[in-house]
Amino acid sequence: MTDPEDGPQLEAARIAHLAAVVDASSDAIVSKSLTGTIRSWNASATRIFGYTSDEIVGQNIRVLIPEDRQDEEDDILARLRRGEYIEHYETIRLTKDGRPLDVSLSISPVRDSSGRIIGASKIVRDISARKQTEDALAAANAKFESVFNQARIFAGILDLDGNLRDVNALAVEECGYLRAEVLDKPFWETPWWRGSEDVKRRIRTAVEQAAAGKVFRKTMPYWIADDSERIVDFAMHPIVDGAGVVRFLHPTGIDITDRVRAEEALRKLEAAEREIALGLQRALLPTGLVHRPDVALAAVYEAGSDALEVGGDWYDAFDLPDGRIALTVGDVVGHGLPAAAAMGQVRTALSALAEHAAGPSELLERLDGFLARSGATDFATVCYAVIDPVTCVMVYASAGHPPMLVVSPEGATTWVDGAQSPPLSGQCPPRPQRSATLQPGSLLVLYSDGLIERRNERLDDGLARLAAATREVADSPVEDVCSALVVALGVDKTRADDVVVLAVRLVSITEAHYQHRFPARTAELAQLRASMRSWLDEHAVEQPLQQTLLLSVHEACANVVEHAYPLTAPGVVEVEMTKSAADEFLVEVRDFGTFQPSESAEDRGRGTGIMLQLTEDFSRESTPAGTVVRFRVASGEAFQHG
Amino acid sequence: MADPPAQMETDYEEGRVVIRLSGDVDLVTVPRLEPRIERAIAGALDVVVDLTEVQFLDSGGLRLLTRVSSTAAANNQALVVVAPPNSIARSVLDIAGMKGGLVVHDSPRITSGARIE
Repeated sequence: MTDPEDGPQLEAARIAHLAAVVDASSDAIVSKSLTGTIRSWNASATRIFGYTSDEIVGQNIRVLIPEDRQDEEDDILARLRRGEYIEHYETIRLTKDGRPLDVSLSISPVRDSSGRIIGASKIVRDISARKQTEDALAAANAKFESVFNQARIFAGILDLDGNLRDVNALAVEECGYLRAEVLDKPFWETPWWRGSEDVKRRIRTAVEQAAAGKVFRKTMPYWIADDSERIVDFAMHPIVDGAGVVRFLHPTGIDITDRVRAEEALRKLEAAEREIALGLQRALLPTGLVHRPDVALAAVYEAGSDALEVGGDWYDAFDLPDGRIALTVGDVVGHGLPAAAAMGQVRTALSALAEHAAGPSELLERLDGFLARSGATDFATVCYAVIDPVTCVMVYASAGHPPMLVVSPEGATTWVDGAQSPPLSGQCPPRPQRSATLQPGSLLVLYSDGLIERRNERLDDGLARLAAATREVADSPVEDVCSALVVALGVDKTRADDVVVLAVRLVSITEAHYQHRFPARTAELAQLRASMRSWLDEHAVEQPLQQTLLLSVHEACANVVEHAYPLTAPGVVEVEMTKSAADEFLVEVRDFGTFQPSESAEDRGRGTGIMLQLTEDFSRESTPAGTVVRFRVASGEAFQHG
Repeated sequence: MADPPAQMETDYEEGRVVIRLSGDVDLVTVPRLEPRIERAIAGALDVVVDLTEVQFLDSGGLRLLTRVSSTAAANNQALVVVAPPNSIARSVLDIAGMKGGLVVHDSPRITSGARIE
C-alpha cells in the first residue's frame, strides 16, 4: 500500500537519486526506448564514446552501431521485447570520431509500474585493451604452436626449476614416448637421458646455465623408447620477458645420428683403405734384398704423404742364373691403390722377364710388350742394371729414369746415364743399353725422382745435391748410406712422391792381408788390438765382426803369452789374418815355444771355449817347433746389437 | 788408436757398494783391478759390479768375475753384475755361457734398500 505521503514528491526524489547513481557509475550506462531512441547517457558513456549527453540523447542508438552490425540491434530489440536479459555481449560499436571500439554489453529491459517493457538499460564496457591482449596472445600462440611442432626439431618448455611443462609432437612421437610419461618431471629425469648418469648431469648443468641467462649447447647421446642410443645437437635457451628476466627455459634438439654415423663410417673406410694399400705395397716390395758376399745391398722406401700414402715406386735386386746380379728401381705414374697395383705387376713382370732377357735392352723391350698387352699402366720409368761382380762390368738401360750415381773407392762421383730411352708406355721405341766397368769397392746409388725433386728447383740442382750428399757418406756401410741420403736430401713428410734409395757396394774381392809379430808379453796385447782395429777400420769391417776377431785373436795370443814360453825366455807371437771375402777371415796364430798346460783345466778351457764359440774350423797343431792355432771367422753374430 | 786404460769407480751407499768398471778388463788389467775390487767389497752387504762401460772383456776378466762372485758368496754378500743387453760385456758373458753362474742385470737401476735377489 502506498503511503499518502509517497506521492509525486517522493517519486521525483527517487528518480533524482537513481539518476545520480547512474551518473556516478564508472560503467557507461545508456537507456533507450524500444525503438532505439537514446533516453539517457551518463558521464562514463561520454568518456567512452565521446558524445556529450546533449549531443546524443534523442538520437537513435543505431548511430553507435557499425554498418555491418546493424542487424544486431534488431536482434537485441527482439530479445528485449521478449523480456530477456542480455549479458556480456561482445561486439563492436563506434565512437564519435568513427573509431571502432570493442565493447561488452549487458542489456536489461526497463518496465513501467505496470510491468510493461518500455525500453532498455545498457551497460557498456570498453574491452579494447583486453581484446588487444587476447588477440596478441592468440597470434603469438598460433605462431609458437607452428614453430613448436615444426618438423625436424625437438622442442620443449621448462619452468625455471627444470620441470618439463610442454614438449612438441616430434620429441615424443619420434622417440616412442607418451606425453604423460615425460611431462611435469625434472627434465634430467625424462627418459631421453636415462642411459647415462653423466648425460643427466649435463642436462642439469644446461638447466642451471640457461636459468642464469646463458645458452647451453652440446652434442650429446640420447635414448629412444627401444633403448637404442642416438646423437643430438642439443641446446637450452633462456626465454626472457621484456625486462630481461628469464621466465622459461627452452630446450631444442636436432638429431644428427645419421650424419655422425656416416662420418664415422667414412673415417673407418678411409683408414681401412689406407691399411690395405699400405699392406698391399709392403707385400709387393721385396721382403729382403738378395744376400751375397760380393755385393753389399741396402734400400729404403718412404711412401709419399698422399691420402693413401702409397705410390708406384719400387726397387728390386735379384740373382740371375749366370751369377750376375740384377738391380732395378722404377716409378709407375700416379698414387694410391691403382699405382701400387700397377707397380706390383710391372715389378713382377720385370723379374720374370729378366731371367730370359739377353740384356737390359731386351728386358725393356719385353716390358714394353707386357705393358702394351696388359695395360697395367700408361706410364712408368725404369732403371735396370746387371753387374758381374767378378769382372765388375755393369750393363744398364734406363727408360726415362734419373741417372744412377757411382762413387769410386777414391771418392769421385760419376753420373751413369748413357743408355736413355723414353719412359714405358706401351709404345715400343728403341731401347739402347750401355756397359761400364766399375772399380772394386765402388758404391752405386739408384733412386726415384722423389729423392731429388723439389719445387722451383732445376733437376740439375737436385742431382748436384745428391752427388754432394753421397760423397759425404761414401765410406759408410750401405744401410747408413741409404738413411743418410734420405735425411741429407731433406725428404720431409709433406712431399707427395714416394722416395726409393737402393745403395750397392761392390765389395773388394782382392785379398787383404794382415800380419803382426810381437813379443809374447801381456803388455803387448793392447797394442795388438790397436793395430788390428786400424787395419779392420781401413777395410770397412763392421763392428760386430771386428769385436769377434779382436776377442778370438786376443784369446789365442793370451794363451801363447801365458803358456808357450818359460818366464825366463819370452818368445814371439805371429798373427796372420787374411780377408778372403766380404765377411770372412782366416786367422793363424803361431808361436815357437813349447805348449804347457795351465794351472787349471777350467781356466784354460774358458779361453778356448770362447774361441770355439766365436770361430769355425778351429784347430791347434803342436810340434816341437811350436804351435799353430788356426780358425775362420765368418760371422759377427755374437756381437750383433739390436 | 790406443785402447782406453782400465778404470774403476766406487760408490758406497747404505751397505751397498757399486763398482763401475770401464775400458779393458782383461788379463792385462785384472792383476791391478782385483785387489782394489776386493778391498772395495769387504764388509758390504750388497755388491754391484757395473760393466756397462767396459770396452773389452776376455776370459781373464771372466775369471775375475768368477772369483769375486765366489768371495762374495763365501761372505754371504749378494753380488749382481750389470751388463746391458747391447753391451760388449753382455755379449762376452753370453758367448762364455756364464749367465747361469752369475746374477746379471740389464741396468744399474735397483730399488734402493731392496735386497738384491
